[in-house]
Amino acid sequence: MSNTGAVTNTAEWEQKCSHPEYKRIQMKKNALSKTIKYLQSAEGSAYIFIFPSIILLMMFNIIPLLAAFGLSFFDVPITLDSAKFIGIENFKTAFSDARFVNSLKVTAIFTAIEVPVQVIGAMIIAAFISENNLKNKFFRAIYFLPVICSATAIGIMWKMILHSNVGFFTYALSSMGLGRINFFNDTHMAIFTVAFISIWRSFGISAIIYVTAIQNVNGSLYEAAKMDGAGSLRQFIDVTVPSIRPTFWFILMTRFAGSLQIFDIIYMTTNGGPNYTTESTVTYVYSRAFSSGSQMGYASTMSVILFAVIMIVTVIMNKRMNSEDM
Amino acid sequence: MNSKGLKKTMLGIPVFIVLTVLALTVVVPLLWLILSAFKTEKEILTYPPTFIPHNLTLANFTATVKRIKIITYIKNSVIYAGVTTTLAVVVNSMAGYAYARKKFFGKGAFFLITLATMMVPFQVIMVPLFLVVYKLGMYNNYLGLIIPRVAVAGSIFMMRAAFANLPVELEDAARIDGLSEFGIFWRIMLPQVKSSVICLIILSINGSWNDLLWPMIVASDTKMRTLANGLALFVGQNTIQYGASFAGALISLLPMLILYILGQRYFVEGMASSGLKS
Amino acid sequence: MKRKLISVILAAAMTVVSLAGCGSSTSAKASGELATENGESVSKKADKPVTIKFWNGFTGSDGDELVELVDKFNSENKYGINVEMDISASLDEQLASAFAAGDGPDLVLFSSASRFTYGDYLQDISDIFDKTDLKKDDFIEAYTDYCSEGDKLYLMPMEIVGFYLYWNKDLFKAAGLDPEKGPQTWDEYVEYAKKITDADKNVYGSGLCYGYNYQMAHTLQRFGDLAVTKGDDGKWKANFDGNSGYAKFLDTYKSLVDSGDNPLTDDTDSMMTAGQLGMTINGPWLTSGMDTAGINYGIKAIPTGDADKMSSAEVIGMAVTTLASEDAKQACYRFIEWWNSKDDNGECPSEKWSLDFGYPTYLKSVLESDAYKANDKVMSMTNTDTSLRADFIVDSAFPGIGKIISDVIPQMTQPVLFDNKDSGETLTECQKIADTIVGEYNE
Repeated sequence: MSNTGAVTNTAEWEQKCSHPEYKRIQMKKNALSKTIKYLQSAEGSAYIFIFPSIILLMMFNIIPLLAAFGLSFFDVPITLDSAKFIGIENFKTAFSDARFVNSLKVTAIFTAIEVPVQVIGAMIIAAFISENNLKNKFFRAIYFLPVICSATAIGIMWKMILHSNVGFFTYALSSMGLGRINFFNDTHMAIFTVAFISIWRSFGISAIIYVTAIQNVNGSLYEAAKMDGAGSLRQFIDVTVPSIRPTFWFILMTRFAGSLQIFDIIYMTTNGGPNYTTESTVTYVYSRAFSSGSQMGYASTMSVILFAVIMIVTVIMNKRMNSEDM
Repeated sequence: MNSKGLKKTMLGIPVFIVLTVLALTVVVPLLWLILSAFKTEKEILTYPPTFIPHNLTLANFTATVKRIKIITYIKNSVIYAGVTTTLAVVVNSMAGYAYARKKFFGKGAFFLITLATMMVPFQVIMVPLFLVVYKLGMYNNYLGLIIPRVAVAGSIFMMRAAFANLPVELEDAARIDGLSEFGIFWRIMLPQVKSSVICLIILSINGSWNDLLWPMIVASDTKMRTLANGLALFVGQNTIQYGASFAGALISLLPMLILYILGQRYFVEGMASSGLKS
Repeated sequence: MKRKLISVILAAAMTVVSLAGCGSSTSAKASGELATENGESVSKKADKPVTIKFWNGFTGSDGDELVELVDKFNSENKYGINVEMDISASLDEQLASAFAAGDGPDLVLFSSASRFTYGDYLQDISDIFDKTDLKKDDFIEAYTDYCSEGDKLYLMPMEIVGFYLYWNKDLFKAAGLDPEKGPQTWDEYVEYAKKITDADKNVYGSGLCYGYNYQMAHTLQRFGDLAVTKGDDGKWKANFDGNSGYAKFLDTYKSLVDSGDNPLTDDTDSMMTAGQLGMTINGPWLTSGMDTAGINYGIKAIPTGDADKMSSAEVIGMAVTTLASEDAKQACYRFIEWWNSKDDNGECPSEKWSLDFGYPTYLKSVLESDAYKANDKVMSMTNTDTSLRADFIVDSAFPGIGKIISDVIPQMTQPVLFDNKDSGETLTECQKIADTIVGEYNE
């Protein structure tokens, strides 16, 4: 049927309108314009806002992630070319692998040292340097310096400064009569040394992000608190802390995820030693995947377990966070 | 002037001491690194160790410049960091805005997916990720270098925290004025969190600037090497050229430092221009 | 079928997130390209002016010289071949990705042990002696054996890495020892170490390093021979449990640390270079650092303990990958030929490399050359008896060498050193770990 002729009378018009094909097009048009309208609305526009990030994260994070999950059920070498399906064998191996269990313990200890310092310590320091004056700007600039250095440079630097024998700091301490401290080779000390370097490196980010958040707190809230006679400590606890809660959660969760994945600092300094006391899970995963024998499948399995641990904690924290500030 | 945070009245001196000690902890090792870049290799590894160089040398810098094609590498680093960051600011702050200020179906799930990407060590997804990039035809070109690094869960999360702090009235007023949703975001809300945007820019540039593994894997063409890759060449499998490594670290640090000093101004102004103050 | 598994998993993953369309069309194209590349006619024998991709992990100072030599080849080879070299600080990650995608290097330079990891991706290059002027009998057999499996040759040797004992002559003199004579036996080693140690000056006599698995391995085998050998039944067997030589090493190391004659450290290189160590064991790269630092040192073979006289070496070699076309393969051959041949001026890159860095040669012709014989440093590291076996820590055909070095050796030294475990018990524990590794290769 051809529709080339002009519509000349009502009957024809009505006929045309009732034609199923036309109706479908019209409905589609309506749906389309409805969709467009919805996407322009306050609520619907959210999908436009998150679309680019979701697509990119899907393509370059989630797909590879799912692939890695898939690998955890296989015995595969580094080049992923041959594979044997072995079901949950890798998972069984992991839980009876003393080095893996040890690595979880090391990771937990590391996280327990790092996270509180980053989350609470940085907040307190940020409170002291949030006001804009020359002195504070100076401190902020200094604290941020390590953040812009490369991990490689930081690793080599600390390895040399804290060298058990020829290190500058070790030497300085011993010539002050404080004894020769073996920062990297003492089984009790090494994990603290590594945690210190890690905190040293990223403390500045946490502090600056807190400072930014504190500066964004609505000034009238302080005015109100002041009128109620609150001192500066009360103002900090009653006004600042509740106001910067989203930032607090951000720092807590990112630092938490970051600590559980600690790798580069360890790789550059102790490489897991002495006696595995600093071998974190990712350090061990890395050595399984790339250094020797290349068991990509097993490495993926251990990462999946680590992922599960991080995810569970994150979901719990996320719930807390949403119930608090949404 | 409002007092934000703890005031110095009662705590003044002890606080100042703590802040100074922290600053020294940061500065002294870095100073050692900077000074060591001007030492001879022999002096870096001498006992007892020195802090101030006995005789200054530029040999480490000349060695660095001779060894790596520094101009090409810097060009690549600038492209990589510049484009990635530009896109990252738009993409991540848009997402952060939606998660902070909009209610929509599936929000929790989308946010959790975003968060989930933060929980996986890069070493694990590296090979599959490479294959995705390869199959999309982005191997050995700038697209492959940049696009996968644009969306970052941490940045989205950070922007979400920044936007969550803003008062609702701002948005409502703009809506009454008839601005489109994107207009509200771009013209009204984004400028409010300028300091966080600056923070995002610095962290993003910094991340790509120092990124070692990804540029190496995604491009086999040596013309696409970045500065961080070039500097890694001084750390051998069996030996480390300390002097050249430190000199290289300084060279790569310098642009970041300048950027940070420039950015620092905006960190400060971010608040002053927000119009929210008192 | 390469890449089958990962393709399936990727496809599945893409479907799960319903983005399947994004990848499928391009993926077909990618594999199509590959097929033509692999299927290209094999008949062309003449040299083509092609560009070959050459990957290695030679970061550090030796990389500088490699760059110069490659440039030299590019400018002077008569075939118009261009070698495009990429030195990588993360070679393993890069190779893993490249092989998984099927797009990467034609020529790779790495340890001969890598043939066990990337074996599927390496071509048999035994016909290099037919297609170039290289002579098979110019190469010392002990080293080419390292690179072969049966009749197949996977790598051409490029440098021989052995570990040696280095001693600081000035510290020897200060301790009243003969500076020209390093220790002949391990008893002497311990005796000298005690004399050299001077706590006031922060000087230690012995430089054994628990964190340096290669040093541990080279030393261990002098005490208790190879860790994995082929049994009478033709199966691999691990030799840890009841190995009195290994136990003796562990006890020696422990007592040196306890008596303060050996520092507890994971980095002895810096100390040796700083002149704070009397003796240490390491590879030839240590010499360049000591030379710049002006250390007056001597080099000799590591003293033999209870085991037979042996040398131990790791062979670094060049391998042609399956990604190389026939033309590219021939071009790689030309590069390898150039590396191992004398030019018109009588200069041989391989010889230059040996002499500059102190790597013993794998070429009999170089061994005979005057320049080589006149070089004391390299001669003191060269094992002139070419018939001596040169296996490093395990039988050179055992594929699990990487795991023995990184998974078992630290489990030997560290419990003894840090947990004060008995050396015999520790070795029994190590036997269990090693048996699992060995078992995988006996299947």
